[in-house]
Amino acid sequence: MSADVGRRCALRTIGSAPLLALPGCSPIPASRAKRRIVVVGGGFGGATAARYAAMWGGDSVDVTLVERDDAFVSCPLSNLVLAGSRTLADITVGYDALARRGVRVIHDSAVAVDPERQRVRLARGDDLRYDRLILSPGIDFFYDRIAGLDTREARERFPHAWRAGPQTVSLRRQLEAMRDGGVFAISIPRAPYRCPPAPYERACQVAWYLKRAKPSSKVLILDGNEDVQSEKALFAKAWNDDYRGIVEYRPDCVLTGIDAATRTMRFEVAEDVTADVINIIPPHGAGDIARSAGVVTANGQWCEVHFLTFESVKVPGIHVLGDAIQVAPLMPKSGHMANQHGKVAAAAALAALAEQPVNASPVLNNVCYSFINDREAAHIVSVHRYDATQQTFVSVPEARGVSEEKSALDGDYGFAWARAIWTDMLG
Amino acid sequence: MYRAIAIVIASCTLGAMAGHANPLDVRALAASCASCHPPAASLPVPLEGQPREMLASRLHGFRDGSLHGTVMPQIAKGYTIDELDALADYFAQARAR
Repeated sequence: MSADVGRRCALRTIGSAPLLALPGCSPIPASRAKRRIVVVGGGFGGATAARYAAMWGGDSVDVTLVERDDAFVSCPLSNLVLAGSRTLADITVGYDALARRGVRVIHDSAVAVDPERQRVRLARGDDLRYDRLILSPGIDFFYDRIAGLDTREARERFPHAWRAGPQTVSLRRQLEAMRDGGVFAISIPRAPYRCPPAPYERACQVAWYLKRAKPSSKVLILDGNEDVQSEKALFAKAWNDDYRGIVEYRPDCVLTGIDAATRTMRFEVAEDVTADVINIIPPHGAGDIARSAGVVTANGQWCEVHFLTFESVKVPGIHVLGDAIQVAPLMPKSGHMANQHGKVAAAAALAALAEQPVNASPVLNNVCYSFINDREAAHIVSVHRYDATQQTFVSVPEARGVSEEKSALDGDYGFAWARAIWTDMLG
Repeated sequence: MYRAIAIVIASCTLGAMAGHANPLDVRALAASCASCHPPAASLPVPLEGQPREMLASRLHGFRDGSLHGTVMPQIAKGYTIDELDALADYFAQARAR
């Protein structure tokens, strides 16, 4: 991290390795001896991995980050953009500082990975060669599991807004255009999905907006799970107190189809629902590039990794992190957790290049804030320690906790958390 | 040879400083704090360069329940006392960049 003395030590140990590999040879130029770490995906996981690999690797490595978007848009706080208390600009951060910190940032799409030749193919640019590849591919959606979502038009009409950006804005516009007395319906896929409390936070945020702007309207939560997946007592209280008469929760609503003409949602068992604004979060899994790399191993959906290094269990030399992985027990798919993965993966990639042992006992923490209105929030916290016997992370029971109730203090900390973690990942 | 010397130097300087077996492990531990306390940022509380005893007493206080807070009383319980001491050493000696 920030200790210069720590960085110097790392440089000494890692930097000496290439020289040793060539006994008797005259020293080769440092630039040619550099090892290459390529990171795909500049979200919470990938940007963090790139920044820390560059910081800890120093002159011993070239770190390249491939990111398709020009700027990072945060999923955390994006539900406040839906509510109108924040703008997209408030949750957007550029990649300039990361570039100044020694990361080569390429704005392009990674379209294929060749693990044999250790290359990443880009949509526009030349192939990138790597010595270690870190994939932080986020999620892609299984649209084919919902009849009627097969066209681009349908996907734009019933946006997921589960990657913050244009769809966040389009869903906001639909809410603004909705009549008073209308129904906003949110469809939640079966767990595990990205960010367990986020659908329920979204219901609160939309209700906050509707209560003030269109008070006869309703928010209908159609959960594909049998119960609320995170902070149930807290959210139930908000729906019963703050948003009484506005929010209705229905469990066991596994969405199977959508009729665009009548805006009717069909479910496995539950009755059809017609709504004015429909937010469909389709089932999802690891981002498509993970499939190309051959690292999607769990149920055709997620990527299993060795938790000491976040290296794929299937393809050596490729680390996978963030929402794309098959998580350890009680480990949430969250931005904070992806940021924590990124540091372990960066250290492991550098250790592999330097032929050094990795940290044998990594500890990860997770903090998530859920906003109940425009300024009050609640937190959920956990700490996850690597267990060598089980070879996975184990959640520490006494470190788990949630807010007893929403508060403005947690809200202040929630906003501070966002600024802090954006700084940690993007410089 | 050079590598061995480098490791010895690293171990002597940081290992002695932190009282911890491997300085890179302490660095990794400290990185887990940086999500909320990033390097060179003032939010919510900068950790680098703070007095060692202040850091240690606060971390211990969060862990044993004598100090109140929002998320830190829970997070501190996930780390061992030795780890909290190593973190206090690390941040006290680190310079804000």
